[in-house]
Amino acid sequence: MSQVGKDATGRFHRLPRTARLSVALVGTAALALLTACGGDDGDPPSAEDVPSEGPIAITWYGSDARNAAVQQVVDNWSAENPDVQIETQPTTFDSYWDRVSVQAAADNIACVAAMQSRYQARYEDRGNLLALDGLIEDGTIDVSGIPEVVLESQRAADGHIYVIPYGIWFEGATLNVPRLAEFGQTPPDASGSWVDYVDWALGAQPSMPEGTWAIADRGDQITQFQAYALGQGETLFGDGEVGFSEETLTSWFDLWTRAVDGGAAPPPDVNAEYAGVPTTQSLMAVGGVLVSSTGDNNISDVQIALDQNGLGTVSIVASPTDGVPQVVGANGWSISANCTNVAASADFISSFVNTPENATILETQTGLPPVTSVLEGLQEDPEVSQAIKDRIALYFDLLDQGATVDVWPDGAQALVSQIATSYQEVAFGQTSSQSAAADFIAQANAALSGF
Amino acid sequence: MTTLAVARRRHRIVPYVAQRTFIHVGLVSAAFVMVYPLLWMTATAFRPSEQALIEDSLWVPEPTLENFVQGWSAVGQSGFGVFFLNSFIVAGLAVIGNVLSCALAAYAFARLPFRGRKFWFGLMIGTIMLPIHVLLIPQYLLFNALGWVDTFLPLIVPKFLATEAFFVFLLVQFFRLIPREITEAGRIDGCGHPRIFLRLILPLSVPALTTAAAFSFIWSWNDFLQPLIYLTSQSNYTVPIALSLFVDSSGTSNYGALFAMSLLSLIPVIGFFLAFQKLLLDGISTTGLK
Repeated sequence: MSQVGKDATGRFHRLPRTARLSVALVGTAALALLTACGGDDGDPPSAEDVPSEGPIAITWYGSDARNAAVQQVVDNWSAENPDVQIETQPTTFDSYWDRVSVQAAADNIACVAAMQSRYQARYEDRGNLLALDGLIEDGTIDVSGIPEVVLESQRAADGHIYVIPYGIWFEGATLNVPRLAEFGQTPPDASGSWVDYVDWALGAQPSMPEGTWAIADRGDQITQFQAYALGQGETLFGDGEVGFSEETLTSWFDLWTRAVDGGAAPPPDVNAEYAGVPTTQSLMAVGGVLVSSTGDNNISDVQIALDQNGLGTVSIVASPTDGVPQVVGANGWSISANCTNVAASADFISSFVNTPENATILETQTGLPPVTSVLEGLQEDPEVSQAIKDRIALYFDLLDQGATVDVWPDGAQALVSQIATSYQEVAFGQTSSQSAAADFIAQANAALSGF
Repeated sequence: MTTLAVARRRHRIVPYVAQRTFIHVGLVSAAFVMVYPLLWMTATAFRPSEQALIEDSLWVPEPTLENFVQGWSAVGQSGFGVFFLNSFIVAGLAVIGNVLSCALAAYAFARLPFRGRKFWFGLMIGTIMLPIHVLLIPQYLLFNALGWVDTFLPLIVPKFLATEAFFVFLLVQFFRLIPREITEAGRIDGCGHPRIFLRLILPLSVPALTTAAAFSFIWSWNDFLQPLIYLTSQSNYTVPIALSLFVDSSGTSNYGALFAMSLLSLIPVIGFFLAFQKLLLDGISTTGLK
């Protein structure tokens, strides 16, 4: 009979060799875990402290057209830095996060990795990214042209900045003013709330032809619910839980049920038919609705579709937050904690953000450039389309009104699809708005708590 | 033949013809419903890209090859020629690895008496129930430590280690159907296990091996997640990864090029099926695979 475990002294040596190996492996893993969880309490490194040897990998997300534009910017930087070997790793948005999450588990993220304000918190919190404060302070990464409010919004809970924004995007209400005029309607007051919009739509609907609705059903859009909650004096996220009340979400669902029941918004079966279609096929793009909401970078696609059918002109205004400053999102560059050539990575990021020619190449496909002087240069460029200039002007207005970059907590990404599911259950009469709101909040709180 | 007999026969033939016609019309209609997405994709590949998702019909009034020309070189600096080559390398070696290693493992489980055979077989079958997401991170850590990330090795080497339990199970079932008298006759003639495996079992198992090869090729050719995780350089991308780059939820998508390249990506799979159709059907029918 084995004596293992009976003698407190020398117990380890009595274990069989395979068991000893297992214990050693588990111990090493536990130590590694403790080290990883413990974080680094030291100051963020400056240019003199960072490694500067070896190749750099750059990874980002986007479609083929956007990827080609970013690749051109990378190639231009590479031409100016022939001594740095570069490997590029572009992929699509959804695939990107699948890949990065696995790479993060192995501390093998590319040196320069794109982040997004809705996703970056996970990698910041887990120690996968390098704190950039030191490189910002010594000027290695030049952020002097980025509005302070935009940069400071990126500061994580630990007080460090891990992500430098390279493209700003925001959602707003979209209006087809010429078509509204055709039907004798003036657009709704852009400074109001979604309640004002729905009230306006119910009044305008009688003058609309059959198959055209005054307003798109936005009940399933988390970003527009956020605008509504802001107008109610609440926020989307609190500390490890949602930042809004069940009553607010219930009233949001009720608001859109009222719009649909009143005939001012498409019925649920039409919404379901158009759910997930490309922007160019959306109800707004095919003239089915005259007021909606979308991301600013989608406006050009909507207009192209409207032009093909002669169905008017789309314009974008601020989200209906009832006068409360709205939030914007940001795509940004980070440097991974495992990077072996931080110096070159930092130089690339600084160049990407501050070089005016890059904005011309990218054509705002990655979002609006964060540097004010670059944006002003685009506004003065006769080659730049009016749609882009209008977006820039609106972005400046939003900043003047106090807009900030909204960095979502880890786990919050699931809310995008959860609210759509909850609202559809209400729209198809499967549950009450109050019950759907309570269920959504329970699921959201579970996601935000990390389980 | 009397007039009455002729009339009776005709009376029997008419319902028979009507019944057959009804069945065939039904089958053709059902087949059309099944094939419609493929036909629609084919038609859309030849439409101008801006009409890609607008038209439901299969008729293309003004077909164009623009999507093929543009799609072939739209993604990265490599182009689809490289992506197809990468896919052929990965899928081809996966087929060889799976067929060789799984046949060896299956022979052991089917014909070699060894201690704990049933337990190990059950354990191996149990691995089928493990979702890939459970294995992904441990495997990535291992392959990363070996320095294999951004190479084809993580996609190929495991195939040579009989890690696809489904194929082992499939071949075990087939090997068990081969009469023991044949292998015993081989033993009487002086064959050891290697010669019995190579000279008797494998030649008799061509339908099952072809089935394993076909499924291995199709799964490997269509695999998206593992190439996405392990292949980071664009020049190493396989076809499914490259196809995904045409559609992005955060920006403009190129559906015309997507359908054109998707159509091309189907050709090897369809070609494989057509070339080995008879053996595949034999293999599926004899292994009870559905």
